[in-house]
Amino acid sequence: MTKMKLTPLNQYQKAGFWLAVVSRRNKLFVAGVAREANKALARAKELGIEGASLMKSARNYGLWAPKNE
Amino acid sequence: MKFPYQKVPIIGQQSIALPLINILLGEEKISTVCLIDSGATYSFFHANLGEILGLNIKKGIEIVAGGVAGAGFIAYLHKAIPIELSGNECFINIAFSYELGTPYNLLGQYNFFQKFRVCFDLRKEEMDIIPKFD
Repeated sequence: MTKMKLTPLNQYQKAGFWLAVVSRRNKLFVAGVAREANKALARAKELGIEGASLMKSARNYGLWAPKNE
Repeated sequence: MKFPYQKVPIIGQQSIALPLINILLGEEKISTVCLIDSGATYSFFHANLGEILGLNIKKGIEIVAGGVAGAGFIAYLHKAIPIELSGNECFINIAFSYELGTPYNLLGQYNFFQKFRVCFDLRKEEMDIIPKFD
């Protein structure tokens, strides 16, 4: 199996992408990124990561506020 | 079943712990990240996931959902979508939306909370989720 460096979620603070993520020590890490959900999962699998979960990328992963604030 | 909160980044190097879980969605068992949102009336999922399941999203019951900011968004409610959480399989109603503004899907009151009892413990950063079905 390919050893792969997982990318911290804070390096994907831009909206519009699907992320295939895995949890390590209760933190989310990105294993695959694509505009389409299936492709994100496929990229994670290509890198030897099975069981990744899908979520969307965002500017902020913890807070949601009106755009003008 | 105890699940740890997951730490996610907010501003700069700061992070926050949220009640996030992975569920397997549909017969295809697509793994996806969900925020357990006791303040949400329904469970809201990104429409693209419903499309992967083969659903005709706009054939669902159209609802207009309001967020904390007050702005509404359109979602389409589909009934009896199979999900699996740590080996526990059940059917829940899911409102799929093309406009969902959160990175996670949301598991809300109707009817995820009718199927599972959820106890949050922010101090321990863990939650206890107990199925309420056989």
